[in-house]
Amino acid sequence: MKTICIVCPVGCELNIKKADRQITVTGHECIRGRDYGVKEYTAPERIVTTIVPLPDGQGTAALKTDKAIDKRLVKDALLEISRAQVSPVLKPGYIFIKNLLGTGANVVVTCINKEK
Amino acid sequence: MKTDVLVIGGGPAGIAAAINAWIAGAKVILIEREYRLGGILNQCIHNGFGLHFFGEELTGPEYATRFIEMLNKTTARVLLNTAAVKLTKKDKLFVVSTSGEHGLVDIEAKSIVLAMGCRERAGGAIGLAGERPAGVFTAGFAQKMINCYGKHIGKKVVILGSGDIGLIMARRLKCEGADVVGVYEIASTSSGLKRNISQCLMDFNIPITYNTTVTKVEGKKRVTGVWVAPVDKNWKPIKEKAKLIKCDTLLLSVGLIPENDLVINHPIEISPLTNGAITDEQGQTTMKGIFSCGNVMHVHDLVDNVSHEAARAGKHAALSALGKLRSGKKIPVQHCDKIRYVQPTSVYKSDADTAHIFFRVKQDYRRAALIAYSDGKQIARKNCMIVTPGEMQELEIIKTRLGSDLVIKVEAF
Ligand SMILES: Cc1cc2nc3c(=O)[nH]c(=O)nc-3n(C[C@H](O)[C@H](O)[C@H](O)COP(=O)(O)OP(=O)(O)OC[C@H]3O[C@@H](n4cnc5c(N)ncnc54)[C@H](O)[C@@H]3O)c2cc1C
Ligand code: SF4
Repeated sequence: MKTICIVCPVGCELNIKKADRQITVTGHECIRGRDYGVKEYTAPERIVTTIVPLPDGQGTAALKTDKAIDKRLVKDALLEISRAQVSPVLKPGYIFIKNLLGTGANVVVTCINKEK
Repeated sequence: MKTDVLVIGGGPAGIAAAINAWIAGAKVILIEREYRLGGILNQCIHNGFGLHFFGEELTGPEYATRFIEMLNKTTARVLLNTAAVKLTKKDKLFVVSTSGEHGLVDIEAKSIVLAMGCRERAGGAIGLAGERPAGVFTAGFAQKMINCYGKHIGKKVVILGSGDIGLIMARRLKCEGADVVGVYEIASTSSGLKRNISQCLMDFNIPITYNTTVTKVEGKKRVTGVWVAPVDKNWKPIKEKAKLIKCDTLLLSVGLIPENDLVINHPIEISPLTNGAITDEQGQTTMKGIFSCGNVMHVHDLVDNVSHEAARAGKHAALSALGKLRSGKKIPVQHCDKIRYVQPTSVYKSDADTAHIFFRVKQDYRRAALIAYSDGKQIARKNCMIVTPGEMQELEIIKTRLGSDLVIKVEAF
C-alpha cells in the first residue's frame, strides 16, 4: 500500500507491506511516519462530514461524526446518513444518528444553513 | 450612525477584531453583507479548524460559533445584510456608506477595520478559451451551493488547480455521488496541504496530474468536455499533446484575491505580492486609522492565524479611536530572497512584548532554519524539516531582544 504521511509538512511517501505477519514501512524520514503507516495499514480512521437537505428543501443541515470511524465504512456511512429521515427541528449539537453502523460514533449537527 | 470602531466584514477576522476592539474599551459596530456571521467558515463543513486556538479539531461552522458566542457577550452592535459600498473621509472621521435592510445608511467612525476576506479568481482571470457554457464554477462557489443550499452542480467533474479548496471539493463531490475525473495542476507540486492530497484524493482514488492545465472548454449551453494539455517549463501549454476529456462540470481552484475594492481610491499602499494592504505590527495600513486583517490583508491557510492577527488589529483600532495608540520607533522588517513576502512589514521597538512575523517562502526548502536577526545577532529561530510556499511561516520576536534592525532569513541547518 502507498500513502503520504500527514503527520508533518514533509509529507514522506510511504510504502507499506505485510509479510510473515510483520508490517514494514519504508520511505519515512522519522519514527512518527512508521507509526502512522502502521495505523493506516491496520486500522485507518476518518471523521466523516457531510450535509443533508432540510425537509422543506430550503437549505441544509451540516453533519459530522463525533469520532473518527473505520475508513472502510465511510461509503456506507454516507449512504446511511443520506437515507435517514431529516427532522425539521434540527439544531446544532443535536444527534442526527446514534451509534452509526455500530461504530459507537454519533452523527451530530454542526450547523443549520437556512436563510430566515 | 456614529461609533469608535467600524469593522467591515463578519468572517472570523471581523468577529475577532470586533471582540478585541470592544475589550479595549471602544464602541464597536460590525457590518456583514450576508444574513449571518461566520464568512467562509459557514461553507467549510469539513473538520480541521481550530487545532491551534482551541486544541481540538472543529468544523468551520463550529469554529465560527465559538467566536460568535464570545461576540454575543459584548455590546458590539452587529448589522447583518449590510454591505459597505463606499469609504470617504470627513475631517478626522471616516464615513462608510452602507446598503442594507435599513436602506442607505452612513456610519461615521474614528477608525476602521477592513475584514472583507477575499474572492476567487475566475476563468477570465486565467485566460480560459471557449464559449461560456453553464457548468463552470469556482470551487468556493460550488462549495457554497452544495453545502449551504443542498444543490447538485454536476455529474462528471474536472477540477483545475490543486489548492485546498479544489482538493476539499473533489472529496465533497465524490461523497455527493459525482464522478470526479481528475484534478489538473499547472505547477509541478500542489499548493494544498499534504493532508488534503492524502485524505481528499488518495482516499477516494481521484487522480491528480501535475504540469498540466485546461486550455479550452467545450459546449454551447452546458459544458460537454474540456481540453487538457501538458505545459512546458514556462507554463505554456503544448497544444499538440492536448486531449479532450468528457465532463459536464469544470471547477476552478486557481487562487484567491483579497477584496480591497473599497479602499482602491485611498492612499493605502497595497502589496503587489499579496494584493492586500501593507500593515505594521499593530495591523494599521499606511492610512492612519485604517486597519486590516484576515484574508483581505493576505490569504491565510489557517483560520487560527486569522483570529490572532485580527485580535491585534481590533485592539489597536480601538486604541487609535480612543487616542491611546502608542507608536514610537518603527523598524522595517527586511527579508532574504528566499522569502516571498512578510507581514507585518514593520514592528515597533517598544509597543507590546512580542511581535509575530508571518511570511511565505518562494519554494520548498528542506532542513531550513527560519531565523530573525537584529544587529547581526540571532533573536529568534525555528528549525524545520521542510518549509513550503503553501504553508504560512511564523516567528515570534521578543521585543527586549530587538536592536536597531530586523532581518528574517531562511538558512540551511
Ligand atoms: C474552502 C476553504 C477551506 C479552508 N479550509 C481550512 C481548514 O481546513 N483549516 C483552516 O484553519 N482554515 C481553512 N481555510 C481558511 C480560513 O477559512 C480563512 O482563512 C478564513 O475564513 C478567512 O477569514 P476572513 O474573516 O478574513 O474572511 P471571510 O471568512 O471570507 O469573511 C469575510 C466576510 O466579509 C464579508 N464582506 C465582504 N465584503 C463586504 C462588504 N463590502 N460589506 C460587508 N461585508 C463584507 C463577507 O460576506 C464575509 O462574510 C479554508 C478556506 C477556504 C476558502
Ligand atoms: S515520516 Fe516523519 S518526516 Fe516524514 S512526513 Fe511523517 S512525520 Fe514528517
